[in-house]
Amino acid sequence: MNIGFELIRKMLAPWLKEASLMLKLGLAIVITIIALSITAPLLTQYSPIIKVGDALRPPSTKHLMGTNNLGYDMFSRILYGGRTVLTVVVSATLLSMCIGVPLGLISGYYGRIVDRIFSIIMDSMYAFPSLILALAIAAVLGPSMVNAIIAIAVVYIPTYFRMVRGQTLSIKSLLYVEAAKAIGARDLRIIIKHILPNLLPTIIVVFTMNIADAILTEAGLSFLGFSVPPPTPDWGADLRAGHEYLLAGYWWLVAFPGFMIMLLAAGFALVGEGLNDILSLRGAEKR
Amino acid sequence: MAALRTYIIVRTLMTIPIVFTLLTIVFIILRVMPGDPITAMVGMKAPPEYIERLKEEAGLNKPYHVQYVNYILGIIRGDFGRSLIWGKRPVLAEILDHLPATIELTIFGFIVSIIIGLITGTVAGVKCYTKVDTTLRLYSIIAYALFIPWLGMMFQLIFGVYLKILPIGGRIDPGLTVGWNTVTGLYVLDGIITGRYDIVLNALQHLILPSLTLGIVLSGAYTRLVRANMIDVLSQDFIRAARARGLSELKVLRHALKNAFIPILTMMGLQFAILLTGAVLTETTFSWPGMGTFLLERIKYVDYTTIQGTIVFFAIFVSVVNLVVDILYALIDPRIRY
Amino acid sequence: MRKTLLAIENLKVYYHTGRGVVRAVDDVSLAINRREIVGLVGESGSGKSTLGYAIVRLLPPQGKIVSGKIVLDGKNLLKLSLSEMRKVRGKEIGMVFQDPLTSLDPLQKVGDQIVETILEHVNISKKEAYDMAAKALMEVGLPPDRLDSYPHQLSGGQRQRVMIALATVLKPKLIIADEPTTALDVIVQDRIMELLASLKEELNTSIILITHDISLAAERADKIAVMYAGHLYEYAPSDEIISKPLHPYTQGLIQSIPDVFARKEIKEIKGNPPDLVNPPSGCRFHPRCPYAIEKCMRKEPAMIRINENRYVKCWLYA
Repeated sequence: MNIGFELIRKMLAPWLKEASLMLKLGLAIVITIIALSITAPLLTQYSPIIKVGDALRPPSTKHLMGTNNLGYDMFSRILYGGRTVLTVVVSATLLSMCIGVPLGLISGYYGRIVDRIFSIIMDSMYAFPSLILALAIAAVLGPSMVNAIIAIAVVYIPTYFRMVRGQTLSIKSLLYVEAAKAIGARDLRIIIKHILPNLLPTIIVVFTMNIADAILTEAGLSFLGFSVPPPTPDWGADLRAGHEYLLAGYWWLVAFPGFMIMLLAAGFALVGEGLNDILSLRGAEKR
Repeated sequence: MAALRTYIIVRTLMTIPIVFTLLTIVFIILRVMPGDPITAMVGMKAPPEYIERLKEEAGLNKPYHVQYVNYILGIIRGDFGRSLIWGKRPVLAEILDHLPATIELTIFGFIVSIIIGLITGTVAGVKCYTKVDTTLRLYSIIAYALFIPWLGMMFQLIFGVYLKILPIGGRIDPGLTVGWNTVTGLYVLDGIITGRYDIVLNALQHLILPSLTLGIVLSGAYTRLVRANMIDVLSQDFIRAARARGLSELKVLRHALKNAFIPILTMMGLQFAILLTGAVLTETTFSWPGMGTFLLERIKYVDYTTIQGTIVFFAIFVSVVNLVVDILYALIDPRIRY
Repeated sequence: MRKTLLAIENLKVYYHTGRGVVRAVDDVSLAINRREIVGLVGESGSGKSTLGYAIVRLLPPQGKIVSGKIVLDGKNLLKLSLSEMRKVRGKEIGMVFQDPLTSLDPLQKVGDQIVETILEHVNISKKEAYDMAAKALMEVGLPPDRLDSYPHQLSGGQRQRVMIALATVLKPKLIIADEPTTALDVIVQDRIMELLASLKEELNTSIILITHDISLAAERADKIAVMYAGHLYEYAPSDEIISKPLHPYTQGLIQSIPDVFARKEIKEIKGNPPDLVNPPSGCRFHPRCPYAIEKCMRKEPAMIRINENRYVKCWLYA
């Protein structure tokens, strides 16, 4: 028996025991979709952006999800589209986390005028309809993958900011930070050694839930034509393309891409919900 | 009552910096951010003279501070600029043309979501930690994860393409409105006012699929919220005290619901922003002639002033709705009137 | 008319928790006469509140009445259907809670809450119900215009008066008051107790006064029942229990009362109340009892009748 593997299993065991049905289901969905998009070249012989057969063919053994109006294989587009969606969404949420978390820390830790200014900007942005904000940014920057990432990242900065700021405020008022200050620890040290570790679990939960939301925003942007330009495979864009053929009853053009969007978003939301349950249980035990 | 008036005044004044900040953010996005909106929208291949002309018409060739002052002053005067196309109509007039369609859709979508959310959330809260509860929690996550255009298209496929019992797009059959003068622009309401029940019926038929789509997707958030609040309220002392007075379970539930509803109301302001986001996607899916369709169309035609005006309008609209919700909250919850 | 209003016989209430079964009330028997105030005294976790809520069958979801009888005026409450039980609550048994702020619906005017209670039980017009509610407020010493107040607009003492008005408006046979003065100022405490006592005279009701404060019970109650770790250990008239406590635990409780004038030494009872998932063998008080003998560890003592009114559960008196 591999000792290293056994060790990891033992460390994870109590955690997995706590894991609810939601967390397991969510992880299963997310891991499956990630695996499918990584291994796409092994799973399909067709390229997603080359005409490989007759146009508008229904699902068959040759084309599992049929072909679109250009004769592209839909199954291949779904697999490779997963890559696009995951790249855009994960980069965007990581970016907004990297901006939102430090801003929230600064705002919550130092308070005063800096906090006032940041807070009002972030609260205003938070109140604004996210898709319309992303749309405005993407429209100005022009449709491309990088611009879509920027547009989505900007929209979600306030999510991290508000959460981190609030928690920093409450942790700061706890005794041990005061004690650390009294013995002359430097601000940066206090933030990194005392505050950030306490925030980490919540940040992870917010991050997963945020990915779920970003998936829907990305889909919205690309559905409206403001994400990756064609012919790059992307679920939202495919859905829009398929919409034109809906009246004629070509259901496979829309059914699959939209279903994948829902599945992936639900997967991440389930993971977030499951993690949140564990977190609040832990919190309840501490009390 | 004096306290309530003070609260309303203070809350209203608080809206001003928020609107101001939003306007500044919009300005920064549309004008200061790297990337030139006009070029990005027209495309690199457009002739430079054409781009220059458009920039001048939109006032984009002046220094930023001058642009900013003009922009803010214009909005304060209620002047949202004029459209660069379509005969230079005032942007505000065009917005007001499209606003009722969005409001009508939003209202019906909201009603659907709140009905579903209240029922599922209450049941989940009362039956918390049972199988019913787990099922409803799953429902709320799936509803939230549904992509609006996809759900809309599935409805269109089933009810429009296969069953052919409901219209799949538009607000009303065009023939019906010939020679009909609207009052508010909300077709259902106007139909009732003018006694045109054929219009009411037709408008409602058109509303069913879009508002179901919007409502179902948004209901998930309410399910969660109502559930959490119900669990919280049901564990409070006054519920036990109400039972100790011999009240029937139905009356106890009424006490619980009323108290659970208060925090939900505060969320509605924020939910409204999500509702608008949803409305943009719903409108596009159902060719609904509202603000979302309008904005996208103008983005396509590079009508820069209209785009800016519409986004500014959204910003102000959202702030005002938040204000109204907060005031409503104060009216309903007696404890707020400090 | 029977002399006994409420008879609790061999009542067992268990909580099913993640750690195991908590025997919160274990084999308790107690009789309460008409027009009597009985102080139910014990530390927190002694089961006194559980007993109070078991009477109206309003235990938390994990709590179950396992066996026993609760007979109010000849009818066993544990045999009633839920809707019959609802008719008892509020009408025959009124309850006053510890924290009047959280026990009143914050969003409803106090008048409406009283009227709602009246209309649930009595078939009269809304107008008549309002008159009744106004009268009830006056009885508890509040001006009738307080009907239009929300709970947060009242002071703590006023709120508790509203709670008492709610509990007494339908002239119940029994009032259960769970720590009714704990959340209040000292001066207000006294007035509220005064009010409860005078209402008792007026309405001919009995009162169960649940409290951790034996001196409060001694001052106001006719009889005192001492509970410890889910058992009833002593039940006797107040003056007798104060002048001559029999059970070592009761003695400990009385010695721990601070006395401003006598300046006597305050003695605390050593040790902590037991864990009710694994209670001590024999007498549950033996680990803390200064007189414990070997027998106490082995066998639980039975309730011993000292005289007509006096009961104690201790091997010292067997």
